[in-house]
Amino acid sequence: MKKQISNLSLNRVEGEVELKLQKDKNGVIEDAFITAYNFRGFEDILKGKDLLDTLVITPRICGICGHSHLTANVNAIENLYRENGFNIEVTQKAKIIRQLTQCSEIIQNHIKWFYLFVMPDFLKLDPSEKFVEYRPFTGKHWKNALKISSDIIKIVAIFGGQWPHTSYSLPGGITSDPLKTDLVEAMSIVDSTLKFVESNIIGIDAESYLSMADYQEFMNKTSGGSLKDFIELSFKNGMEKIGKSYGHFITVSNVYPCIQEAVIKKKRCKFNIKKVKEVKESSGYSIVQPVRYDGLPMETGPLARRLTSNTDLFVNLNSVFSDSYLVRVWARVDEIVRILVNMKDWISKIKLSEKSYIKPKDYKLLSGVALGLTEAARGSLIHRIEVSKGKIVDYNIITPTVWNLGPRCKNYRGVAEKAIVGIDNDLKAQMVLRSFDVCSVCLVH
Amino acid sequence: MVRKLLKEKKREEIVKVASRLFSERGFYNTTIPDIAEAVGMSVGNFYNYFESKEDLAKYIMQYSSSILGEEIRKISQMDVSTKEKVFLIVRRFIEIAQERPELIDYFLRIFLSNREVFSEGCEGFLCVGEVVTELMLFLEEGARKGDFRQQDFFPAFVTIMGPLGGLVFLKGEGILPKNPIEYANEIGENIWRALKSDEKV
Amino acid sequence: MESLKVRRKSLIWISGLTCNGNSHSFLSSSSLSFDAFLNSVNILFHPALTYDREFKDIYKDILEGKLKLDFLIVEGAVSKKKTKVYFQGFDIYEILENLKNIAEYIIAVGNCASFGNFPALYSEDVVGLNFRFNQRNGFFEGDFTTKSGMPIINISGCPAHPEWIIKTVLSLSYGYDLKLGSLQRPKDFYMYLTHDGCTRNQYFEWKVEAEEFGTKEGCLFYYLGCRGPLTHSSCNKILWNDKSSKTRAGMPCIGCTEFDFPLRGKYFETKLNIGIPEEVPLGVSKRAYIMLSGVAKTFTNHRLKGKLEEAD
Ligand code: SF4
Repeated sequence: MKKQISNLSLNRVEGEVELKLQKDKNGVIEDAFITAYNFRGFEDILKGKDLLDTLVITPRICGICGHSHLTANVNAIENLYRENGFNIEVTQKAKIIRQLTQCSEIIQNHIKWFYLFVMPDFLKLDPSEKFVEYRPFTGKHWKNALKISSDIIKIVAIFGGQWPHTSYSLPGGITSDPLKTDLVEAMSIVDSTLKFVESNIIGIDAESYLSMADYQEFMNKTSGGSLKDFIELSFKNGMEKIGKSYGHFITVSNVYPCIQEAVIKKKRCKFNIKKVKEVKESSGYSIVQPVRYDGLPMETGPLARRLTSNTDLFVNLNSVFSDSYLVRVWARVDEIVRILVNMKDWISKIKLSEKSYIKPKDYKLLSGVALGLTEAARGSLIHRIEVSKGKIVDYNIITPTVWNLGPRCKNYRGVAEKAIVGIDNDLKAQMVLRSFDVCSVCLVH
Repeated sequence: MVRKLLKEKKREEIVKVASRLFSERGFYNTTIPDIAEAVGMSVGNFYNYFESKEDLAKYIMQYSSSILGEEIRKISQMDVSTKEKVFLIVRRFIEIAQERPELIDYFLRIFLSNREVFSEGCEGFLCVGEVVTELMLFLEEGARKGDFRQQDFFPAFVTIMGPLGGLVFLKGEGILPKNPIEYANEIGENIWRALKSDEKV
Repeated sequence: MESLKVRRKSLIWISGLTCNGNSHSFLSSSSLSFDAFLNSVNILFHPALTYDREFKDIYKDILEGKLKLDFLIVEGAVSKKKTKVYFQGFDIYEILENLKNIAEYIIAVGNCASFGNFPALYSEDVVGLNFRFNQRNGFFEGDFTTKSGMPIINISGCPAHPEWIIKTVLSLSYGYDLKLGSLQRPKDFYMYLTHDGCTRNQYFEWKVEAEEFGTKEGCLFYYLGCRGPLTHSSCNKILWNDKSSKTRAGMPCIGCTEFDFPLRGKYFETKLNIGIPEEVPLGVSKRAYIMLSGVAKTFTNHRLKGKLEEAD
């Protein structure tokens, strides 16, 4: 019998993605190919631009993680100052505020993704009335999710003027000089978001949740909520068994105290940027070049972060269910809690008397190569700049989505492609793909 | 209308006489009766034109600034190269200094030396706004076209005004061997070379 | 009672070459506005929201006349060539051609759909819906109009403000005709300048200039590149995320609602020629601006001399 091929165009992902599935005679997926469309040529557009102008351009690569691009960009330029032997000073105040706003963007992302992209898939698997509140447009949970994600993102507006697409963070600090009452406002937003998360998502107070080490304990103690609904639905549909990939993880940057950089191959080891390589070979079906660490494909993102940060709950989940759909999605939801509980502490550490910005030397003096790393909502983001006298010679970006959804090299399939092989259902294949929080606009930029 | 014009004319006459008197005798040694007498009017009538000596002093500055500003504006708007404009401005300035020496003398000897008189209502650029504005526009346009080198405004401003002031001063002291206008081209060349961008000849 | 019920207007949202920033801006609107929107508008398809129907089926129903289409919202630049930009597996070229005479209104949301923006820098054939930068040679050329008789409506901005999107659609649904400016942007939002309502207005008036970033004090116009007085937007009237604006947060306005946004560059410094700004606020001559600022600079507004906190 002829091999079956199906081409699926996905909605409820960021951007335009096509999933091509090749199936055996029993309908089991033998191979999967991910293609992203709508190339915009950002790396070319950046060539020849003034170094500081990149701060306006790179956030526009992605409408949902623009702040992370800004951070990677700023980090790269600040590193370039250091490479050029200039001192660049950034106050604690500016550093904390940058982290606070970037993390607000991450939380916004995870909440939207979970309620808008993940949960509706289960409505298709279980169309009963039981989960009506998850229905797009009409369901209470869906509407709440939009409200809460719009609330948390106000923190970016308070410090950075607007979201999406501020460029308020720049080499030397930040542009704003907040008031005490701005801090109070940010504090209240964190508070009410955390309340929402506790009562609607995890169904237990954050502190107890974070002290748990295994899933059974969670299921026993939670009073219910979307996470519990999700876990039950996952088990019911066998989602703890599918979606497994290589079990290699990468995290390239720290967010104290919740994210630690490291790499997990067979064992956990130190991250070494020199081992990151883009494979210069054409896959034949994707315009994206695969990226490998030490020659290996790596998963990046919240699940990677939980494992590289040695979080008990996820070390346990991973040992039982490995890197399945269930665990990957849970890690994304979990990150909302883990970051939120730290945000108040960060705000309380902001010393308003410190400067927001310390003007560095003229950027036109800068030449050479530098890297900027950060952890975005979807994982590790790397910007590499090559500069001559303050102008961009070459700008290269490796997005989290390239790690997760990039194509195969001659030795390995892409991470998400591998996770889809073996599934026997188109919808579930799509769900596994969505578990990586697809962002094709970042994939092809 | 006619009344107004007549009044303007009278004011001009007062300006002409007063600026000469001020420059010759100094601000404090010149009184309103002196001025009234020189113009041929009564002291009482003088007050119909100016409230006080200070008021007159400031008006003279504004008056000269607007004459000079107007001339710079005319040249700025001409359809000739930036370099030619520099030469024209220099030439015109020297001409005015010759036609109306009292105004330039007034600027050098009174405005610059008796700042206390001008401390209210004439501080900064208030009374010389037109000249400064027109020079700003002229310099901005030249730099925008790439004819002038980029720099701060003030160095560029004094590069133009400095030589002109100096020339008029030397003339006033009676030590210039030649007629000032004969130096116009050389000064024009100096100013142009000082301001032009490196690519220009 | 039935007769009192007004048919909810229908809308589909399609995306071309975009970062999806307008979608996320839209989704970050205040819940009050968003609710009002959902009450009046039936979103037949939005790529991030719709779950129960596939685009291809809705598209087919529209083409066959089974579904009426009131609003076609386009986010992102498109191409004048076929097989360049795709949406849900369809060539967006084909979608636009097929829907151009069916949709009552076509609305370009964001600078990419309005003017081409950054993606247009990459390729000649990449355009906005009606414009490529300020030329009327976008995907639809000249004075193309839709069924309603309106031209393409541009909600420019990188991204567009959610309230501008929502209120434009709602105004049209409620039957108001919106007055558009020369770049086909609704006057209600774009007759203002970003400068209008900025918390730094006093500093602008008295020419107290910020020379460095990171302070509440000082106007960003003279040295730090602010385009507030040259940019049409209501960013400082209808605040972002209900909270603030870039200029309030000390970031210069980069003029992202204007067609020349990607063409300009040097976003963080003001172009000065011999110390004089090359461009001055819209509506005044350079002479007038220089005169006035010269005067303003001569005086000191004592409130603006030091830290704002210390002023009476
Ligand atoms: S910062 Fe910009 S918008 Fe604000 S007052 Fe100054 S020029 Fe206007």
